[in-house]
Amino acid sequence: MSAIYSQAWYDDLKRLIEGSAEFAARAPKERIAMALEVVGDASSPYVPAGQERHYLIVLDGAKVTTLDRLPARHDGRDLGFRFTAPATVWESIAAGLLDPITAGLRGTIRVRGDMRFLMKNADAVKILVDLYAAQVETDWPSGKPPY
Amino acid sequence: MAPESVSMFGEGFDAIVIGAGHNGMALAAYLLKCGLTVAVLERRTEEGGGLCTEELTEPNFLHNLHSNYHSLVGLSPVYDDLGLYDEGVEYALPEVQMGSVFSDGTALTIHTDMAATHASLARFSKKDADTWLRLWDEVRGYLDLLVQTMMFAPPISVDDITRALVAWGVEERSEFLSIRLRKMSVAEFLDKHFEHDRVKAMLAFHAAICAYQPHVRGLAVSYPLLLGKIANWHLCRGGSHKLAHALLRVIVRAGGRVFPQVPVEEIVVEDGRAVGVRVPDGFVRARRLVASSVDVSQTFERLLRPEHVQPATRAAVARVRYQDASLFNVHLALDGLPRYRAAAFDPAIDRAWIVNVGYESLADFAEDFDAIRAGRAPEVPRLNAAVNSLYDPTDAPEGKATGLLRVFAPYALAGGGAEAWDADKARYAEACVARWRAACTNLDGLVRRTAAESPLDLERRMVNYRFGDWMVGRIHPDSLLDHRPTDDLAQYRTPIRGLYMCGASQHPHGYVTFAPGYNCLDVIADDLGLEKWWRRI
Amino acid sequence: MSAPASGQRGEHDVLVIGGGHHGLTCSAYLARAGVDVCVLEGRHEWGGALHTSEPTGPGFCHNLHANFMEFLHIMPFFADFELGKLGARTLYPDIQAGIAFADDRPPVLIYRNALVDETAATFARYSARDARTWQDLKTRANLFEPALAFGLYTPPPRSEPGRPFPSSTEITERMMVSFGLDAELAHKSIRDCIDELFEAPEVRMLLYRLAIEFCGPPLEWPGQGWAFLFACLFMPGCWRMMVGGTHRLSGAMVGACLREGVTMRESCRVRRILVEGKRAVGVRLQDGRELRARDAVVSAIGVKDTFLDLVGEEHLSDYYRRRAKNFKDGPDQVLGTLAMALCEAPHYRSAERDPGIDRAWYQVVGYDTPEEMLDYCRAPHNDRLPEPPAAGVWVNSLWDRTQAPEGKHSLTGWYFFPRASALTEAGWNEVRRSYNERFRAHFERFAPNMTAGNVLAMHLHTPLDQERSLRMREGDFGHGAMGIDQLYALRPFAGAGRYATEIERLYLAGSATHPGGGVTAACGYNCFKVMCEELGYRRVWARDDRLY
Ligand SMILES: Cc1cc2nc3c(=O)[nH]c(=O)nc-3n(C[C@H](O)[C@H](O)[C@H](O)COP(=O)(O)OP(=O)(O)OC[C@H]3O[C@@H](n4cnc5c(N)ncnc54)[C@H](O)[C@@H]3O)c2cc1C
Ligand SMILES: Cc1cc2nc3c(=O)[nH]c(=O)nc-3n(C[C@H](O)[C@H](O)[C@H](O)COP(=O)(O)OP(=O)(O)OC[C@H]3O[C@@H](n4cnc5c(N)ncnc54)[C@H](O)[C@@H]3O)c2cc1C
Repeated sequence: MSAIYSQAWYDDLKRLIEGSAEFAARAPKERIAMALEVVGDASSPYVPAGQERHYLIVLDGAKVTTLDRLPARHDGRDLGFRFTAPATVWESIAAGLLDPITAGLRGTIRVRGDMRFLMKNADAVKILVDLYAAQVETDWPSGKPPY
Repeated sequence: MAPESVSMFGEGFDAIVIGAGHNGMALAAYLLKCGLTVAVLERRTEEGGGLCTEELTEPNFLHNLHSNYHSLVGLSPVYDDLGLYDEGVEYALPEVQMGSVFSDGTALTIHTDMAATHASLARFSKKDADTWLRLWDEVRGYLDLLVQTMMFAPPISVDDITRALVAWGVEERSEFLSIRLRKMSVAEFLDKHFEHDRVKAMLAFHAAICAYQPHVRGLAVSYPLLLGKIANWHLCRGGSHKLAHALLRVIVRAGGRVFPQVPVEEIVVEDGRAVGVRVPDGFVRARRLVASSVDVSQTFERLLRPEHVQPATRAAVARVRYQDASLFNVHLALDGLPRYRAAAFDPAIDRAWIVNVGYESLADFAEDFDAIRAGRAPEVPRLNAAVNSLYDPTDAPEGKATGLLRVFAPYALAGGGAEAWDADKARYAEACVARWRAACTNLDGLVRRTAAESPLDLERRMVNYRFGDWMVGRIHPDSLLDHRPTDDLAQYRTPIRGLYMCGASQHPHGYVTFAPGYNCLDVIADDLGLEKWWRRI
Repeated sequence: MSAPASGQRGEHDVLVIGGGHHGLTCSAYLARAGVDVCVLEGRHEWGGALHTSEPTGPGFCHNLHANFMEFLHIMPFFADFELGKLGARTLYPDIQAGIAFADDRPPVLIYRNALVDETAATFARYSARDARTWQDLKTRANLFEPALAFGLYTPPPRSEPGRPFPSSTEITERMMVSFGLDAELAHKSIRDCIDELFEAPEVRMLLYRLAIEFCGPPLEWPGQGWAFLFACLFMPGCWRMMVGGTHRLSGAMVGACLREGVTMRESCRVRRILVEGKRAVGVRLQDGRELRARDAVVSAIGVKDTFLDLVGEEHLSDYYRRRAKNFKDGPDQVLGTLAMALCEAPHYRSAERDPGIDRAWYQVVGYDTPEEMLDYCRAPHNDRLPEPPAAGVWVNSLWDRTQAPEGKHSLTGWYFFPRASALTEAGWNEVRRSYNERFRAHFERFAPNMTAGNVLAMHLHTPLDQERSLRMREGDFGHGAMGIDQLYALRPFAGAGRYATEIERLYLAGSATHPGGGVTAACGYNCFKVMCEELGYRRVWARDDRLY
């Protein structure tokens, strides 16, 4: 159990993805680069208001070839997708309190990139999203973020 | 006679765009900014295509002959990508966007302020008003995604969309989205969720003037996207043509050229590749590509020689269907702003930009479109009445106003065909004005002059509005997405190398969206290996 | 999601008011000189009188204002900015003008400049003397062209109110002499000059009509010999047609402005020129916004508009106020433009004698005798509509098929009408309803195929329409009468004849300055030259191979 946003936490996530036979069966062939953007807000103790955290995840088939924290916002070059949401949203999803698909539908997570690709790979997307939402263990007491 | 002209075309261009509508011009501007040399060839006297503003009634009264409502402002990436605001484009967002007046003296108004819209709807049905707010709220959540996916990207199939909706369990997460929408009409959607006839009529009116006929099965799929823009109807100050001026400026400043009065007569093909076009002055070379923004029928049946078109493509193009309802238009020069009788009920109706006069229930739409399919113009015209001067007083001399009445009408009249419009135009225009007069209190002394444009006139002015179809291809599940205009041509490429399609005949459809041109650009950039500087992920 | 804020800047070096061709000319040169220019046009379209539209129906192009381009071949703007490559293509019809008759008289035709003998041959059908006179005078006029160009494209000398200034009559006297004519013709009316030099009624008729077509003074005003030289000898023969309509020239001029980086704003009507102290510092637009000018404001619109409406009397000296108010608008005959969508181009009776009349660009039709022509020309001075309706017409689609739908033709033409204020709005509406059809019926006598069935649609653009559309007061297409009293250094009035005004940093560049009405691009060009002198801008107009 590692703290959210820590390298260990992301390593867990990576292991889960690469270990998923389901995902391996459905993963798109193409290499895809995704930026995850965590926008600090007043409620999250991890990312204070006014700060942002940026991650780059690159999937190549079922392999996670990159999972890095970036020093600054990704400039968009060769990027496939960008997912942006307030920190509490990401945290609530990780805690299983918020359904990520609903967050997408409501516009709470802002998605940039070729949605057609996501739709064509809807199953793979669903698997990834569930992994993130329900599988990665976080060191929160009673599984909930501390607020 | 001594010909004095210098050759304007020189050695040719990297890219030639056929037609200077907004799609063609935007594509040209992007390509120029990629470093290509580009020329846009236009058959009319002015650039702009459907961005056409003329003093049809009298001097200083500006009438938008075609596009009047621009509903993708703030959503279409092109405005910012090309810096159109820096070139003087200004939009007004009318706070009362649209409304309906009904025969019993009541009125309903859609405001940019949804609380005001809710209040107006609630006077008819509290339940509908509440449903409306939930619907609005839901749609606002995914509008951005829908616009990105369903408009500003090459099309995918309804099957792909459905599969994703199922995989993601969207149905359980949404009150209004469902995979059944693909089998439903807009009217059925409205019947399912709303109870009051007038509310349904207002919402169906909005769909209908977007060319989504309320009773066409399957169009409910697009309804959420349509609805998300109901409060985003912008008025281009100084006339829609101002947007064309701005596009022209961007092109010329980037070193490009737009040539009005240069109709393309042939797309020249050598070894299966488009190498240029023939115009009245001769041949103009296109070194890398030709993009046609005109309809597929003209492109494949007239501009390309038969020997260059595969039989399968020819057959598919011959099957392209155009809308069965066109528009009859009356432009008015007025001595002041009209006042509606129904303002006694809802004063906001006098500030409504676009007003439905006549559609009071879903059945009214069925009645009109049935008549139209039988070649009859609705006997008592039901109007879509717009007064631009409410929000752009510069479109008429001080204290005066312009008016615009549009009515769904057939292109070909039963007995006489399209030509019969020439004889019937004046009478029908008068019937439209009479209908408006009856809904207003003060129109009698206000009308200075009128000018009518029949569906046939639309086609005469703009050859690509075949059969007066302002969407350049019908809005129907069989003619949308990856079926638009044909399965083969839906991805902007054609079987002829170097020839692309970039106009309203392509996905998503007509209207001033810039989307067909933008999507075609994407495909061209892939093929030519251009850096997509405009893609900001 | 609201309408994004506009990206307009509020300050420029120079603001140019009016996007007619003079405003565009001045703007393009200024920008080429490195000046940050913004040009403001009140209408939704550029080019002012360089206007083409489709009033009779889709695809039928009509030039409702200017049609005959006389100066393109000498116009510095055209050459310096390569307007030909920016889309301004021209045609030069061989037969430039002609008069048709309803009986079996042969037509009189004027060919383009180089074809002096061809013209003379048609004069000779009526008078060998007239033919010789034409050959002699037109040949001299052709040789005179460089001098004419120099005169047009050079600012006139300075003139101060109350002090002596060069007299244009003197200049005209000298010109008469160099044409081998009596010096005193300078003091005569146009009609006197024509009558003195030509004897055949048919030749006179054509010349009468041509003489007052182009912004000149009335036919029978004394002291206007210059106008005879200009309108009868210089002008007919050098008319170019813009392929695609006159508006294409505007399109090319706009292109030139854009290439040079001019900021262009249409639908921006200027309501006020902002004056601080005695200096013009900016403008206020109709919607209340203000724009500042670091260096200067250039007004390329009318004189009364500039001084009385935009500057405001409170900023003017008594002299300027008086002269601006008393500036004469309008020749008393202005133009009503008729437009017809046709199945067939007119086929004249006179064509049996010489088919050239059917291919004459400007076709004068509807007159039987010189007396009728004179009465026609006089009627507008007495606020009468000329009767019977007659006109000068052209069918550009005979040469340029982009100006009409396939197989059809666009006919456009001019009536002489009284000034706009001579009739009420209702009166003009009535003229619009009935005059065209009466003309058509009369036309049929001269060209039997001009039946009602041959005309698909008609339109009439009245002087009131001209006034309203372009702010040409009274429908005066020269933006100010072109009598000898308002010409050259005296245009618009003494003291303002060199484009600068008593308001510091306010310049004039419209047709109300030398050389006046017509698509010359000279006013804007000369204004720029003066600005170079006064503000030290780079003289980008100067060329070794050109004296002006
Ligand atoms: C009556 C009416 C009302 C409308 N109202 C609205 C509205 O309110 N809002 C809205 O968004 N949309 C509206 N539209 C639709 C909108 O105008 C069009 O969908 C849009 O203009 C299509 O843009 P485009 O760039 O694809 O093509 P167009 O704008 O049609 O441009 C194509 C150009 O190609 C030119 N061309 C054709 N053939 C040739 C050739 N052989 N050679 C060279 N050039 C050629 C044409 O002259 C034209 O200029 C309306 C249309 C009509 C007719
Ligand atoms: C019927 C007719 C026929 C003619 N025929 C010929 C011909 O055949 N050959 C020829 O050489 N000449 C012809 N002329 C004359 C010629 O067209 C004009 O003299 C010339 O075009 C004038 O150019 P301009 O730039 O001075 O003014 P305009 O072309 O009148 O332009 C002035 C511009 O300023 C704008 N404006 C006015 N007020 C404001 C304001 N307050 N703020 C912003 N903008 C403003 C107007 O909208 C207009 O666009 C004709 C004119 C007419 C009317």
